Amino acid sequence: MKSRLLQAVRRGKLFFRQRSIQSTISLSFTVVMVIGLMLVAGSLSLRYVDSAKDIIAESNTRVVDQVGLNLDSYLRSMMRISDSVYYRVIKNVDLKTGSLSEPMSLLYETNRDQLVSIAVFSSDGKVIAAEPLFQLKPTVRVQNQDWFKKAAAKIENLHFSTPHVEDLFLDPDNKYHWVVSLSRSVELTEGGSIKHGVLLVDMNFSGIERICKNTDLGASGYVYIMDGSGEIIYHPKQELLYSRLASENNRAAAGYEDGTHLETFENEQRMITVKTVGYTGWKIVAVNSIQDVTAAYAQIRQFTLLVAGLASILLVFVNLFLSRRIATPIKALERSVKSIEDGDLDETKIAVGGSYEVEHLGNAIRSMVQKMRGLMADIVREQESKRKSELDALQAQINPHFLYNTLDSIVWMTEKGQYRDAVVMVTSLAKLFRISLSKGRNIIPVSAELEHVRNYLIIQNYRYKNKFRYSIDAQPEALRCVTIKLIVQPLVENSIYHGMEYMDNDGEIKIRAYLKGDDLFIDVADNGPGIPEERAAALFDGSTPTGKGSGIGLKNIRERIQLYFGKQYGLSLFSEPDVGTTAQIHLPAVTMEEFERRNPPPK
Amino acid sequence: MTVKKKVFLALVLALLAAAAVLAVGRSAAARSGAKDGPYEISVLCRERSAESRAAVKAGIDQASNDLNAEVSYITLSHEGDDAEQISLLEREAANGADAVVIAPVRSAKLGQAVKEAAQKLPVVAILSAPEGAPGIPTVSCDDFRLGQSLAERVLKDGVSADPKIIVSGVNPKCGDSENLYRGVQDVFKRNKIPFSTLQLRDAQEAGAAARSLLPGLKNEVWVELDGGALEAVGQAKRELLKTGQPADARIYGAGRSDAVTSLLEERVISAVGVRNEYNIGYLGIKTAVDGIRRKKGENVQVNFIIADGTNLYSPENERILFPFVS
Repeated sequence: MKSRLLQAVRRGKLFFRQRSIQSTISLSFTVVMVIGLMLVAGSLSLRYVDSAKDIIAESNTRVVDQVGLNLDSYLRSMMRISDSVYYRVIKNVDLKTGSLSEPMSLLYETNRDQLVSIAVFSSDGKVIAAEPLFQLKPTVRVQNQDWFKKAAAKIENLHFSTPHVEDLFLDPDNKYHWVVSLSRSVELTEGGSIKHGVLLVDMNFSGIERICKNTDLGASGYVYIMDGSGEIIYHPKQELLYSRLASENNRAAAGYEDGTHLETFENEQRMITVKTVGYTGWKIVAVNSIQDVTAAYAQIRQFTLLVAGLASILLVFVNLFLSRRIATPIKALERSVKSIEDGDLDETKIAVGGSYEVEHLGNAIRSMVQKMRGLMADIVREQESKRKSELDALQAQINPHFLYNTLDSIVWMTEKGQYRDAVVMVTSLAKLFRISLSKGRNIIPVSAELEHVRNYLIIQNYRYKNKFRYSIDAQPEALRCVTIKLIVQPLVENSIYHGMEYMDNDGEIKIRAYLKGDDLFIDVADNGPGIPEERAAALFDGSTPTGKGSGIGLKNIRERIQLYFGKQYGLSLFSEPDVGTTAQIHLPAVTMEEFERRNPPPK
Repeated sequence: MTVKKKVFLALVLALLAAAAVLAVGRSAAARSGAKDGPYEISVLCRERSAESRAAVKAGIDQASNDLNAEVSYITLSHEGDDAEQISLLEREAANGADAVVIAPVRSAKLGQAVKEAAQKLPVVAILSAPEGAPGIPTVSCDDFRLGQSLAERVLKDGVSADPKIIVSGVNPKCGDSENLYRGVQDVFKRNKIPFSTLQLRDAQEAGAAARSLLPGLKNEVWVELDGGALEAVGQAKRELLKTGQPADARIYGAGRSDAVTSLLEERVISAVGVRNEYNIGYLGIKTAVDGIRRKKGENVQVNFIIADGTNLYSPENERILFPFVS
């Protein structure tokens, strides 16, 4: 049992785990509320029926008590008549000298509504006195009658019979009466001696009928009377019982204690209230059909169920609405979190709404994403800065070979007395270094960068003994723009090393700076042998060693440009074998003033 | 709209529709009253007065009280007038009675009229079946068997070697009387007992006939099948006995009244067959109400007793001979 319960709980958990929050909320709320509603409706209905039963039981008891009082009063009046006949008439009359007829007649006349006859019999069954009829039917044997035998057997008691047709006296009108006989043994005085006789008071049955008939026990309720052994004395359907068209549970009811009982008789649930009448041992039984009691409330019960059903439907809607109100913001938040997982750190897209808690959660996530984004930007900035520093440092390095060769050329010029050329070379080298330093700035005007390149070219041209020509052509607007320091010189260096080395005084390097829209372009073109396409691509990813040259790859130049100005800028290489190569620097067209305004130096 | 939503919406609509149908159905049932009564039932008697059948009437009254019926007794101006009963039957059917309970006059025409009326409303026959209308539910006593029992009782009490038996009171207008006679006739014929029949118009004529015939019937038998005439025949015998005239003929009969019971008790009448007429009345109305409630009506036969001076007050006989009529 316990394991089954646990299994059911596990299944329930699994069921709800596989459901959305909306269906879980709406389903569980609906189930709980509908069960609650039904329980309330059911308990109210049951309580209603129970209270109705209580009312009926009270009503039964009241009616039974009332009938009991009336019956008791009726029987006592019969007993009083019997006592009167016995103690005031029989006891006072000596049969030898007197007659019982006159006082008995008086008593009969006084109570004729309740009585059919009063008679006194001798112990051998002879009529001593009788009212209103006297002559016995010739066929009657009084000693054989039940009432006579009981009175003779138990002389100290009064005996009440069950209803029967009185069959003692000849009636000239041929009338037959249903009576209940009250008999007792009496002591008759005759000539001073005492002998036993029997006094019979036949009560008109209609008296009992009247007591029970007009009881208010609802449409189907009724009262019946039986003796101690369950023999029916009065029943509203007595004739039907006698004709076997109806039946009564009187034999079983005879065993009931006084009070209210529930019984099932002929598939019908009934409420029975029993009260025993003192002395006679008769039982008054009030009967009410439970079905009739409950049927009276069936409409209310059906109405309650109908209301409960409609309320359940309404609850389903309310639950759906509420669960939707609760679940929709949570679902939206879940989708937002999913998009964060996918890398979308736009905090404005995070859903904020719903109940206070969910709204707070949304705001918290939004704030968290905001912070996360800030932290990530910081990290990126740090990394970029670090990378910039590394690349700038690398860029700032002067190729030692270049320096050695330049100095060697100056020495050689000096030894050969070419002082003027040596001065030019030393001057150019000095300018080269001065621009390289540029007061520690990495962003310099294009004019400075081109001046740096010009000095470099002067030096290299001396070294390469004018193997190549060069030209530097720049728009005046382009010269005012900014560039990153030392990005043109490496390109020129590459052109010299890879393009001019094999030229036979016909090499040419053209440097051109110009604006196109908002962009600045610096082209370094040579007429060298060119680079195969695949090799040109490899130059940018750093996978191919540069061989000769400053050692600073094109990749670094592009990376520096993009670190400073963004991914949309950079370096491109256009090469055609045996025609030449053009390296094109793409920068934003920003003047030095504007750049400084946008990027103020840290204080 | 998703399929789930459509299904859900359909379910909700179905529930609302069911609730509405339930509510409307209940209020319609409440309006129509789903007739639990009172049922208007017309009881067509074949006599001039319903009081002549006090026990039947008591049964009818009890049933009308128990089953929430309102009963109208309609009697004939001329006893056994089938034409009048036909017109009354048609009138009650046309006047909107919920059912008709009829003690039919023995007539083929009436049988046809009953069949036609039964197509419009429940019709229940009591005491005897309508002639030529076999499908009509009938509540009656097995009068043929009652007649047989009565004749058997005559034979049991003994008849002389050359018996003189008079059978009187056969009413050709009453199916039950006819059946009673056939039962008596059947037993006598089987036992080769000769008997003669007397056709008398009424109780008065029966009394007169008894006064003239009884003194001549020594140890013979008079079987009187009419209740009223039985009382008159018994009274005639009692008077003859009182005046010391010979009246040795045994009297048997069918029917009950306090006077008959008294005569029985005095042994003036030897034995009587008594139908449980209370049951006939009660079950007649019950069958009619069942018919109104669309339950199929069936033929019902009630019991009877053969009572004599010795067993009048036995519990079984007492309850039929002395109906518990308030």
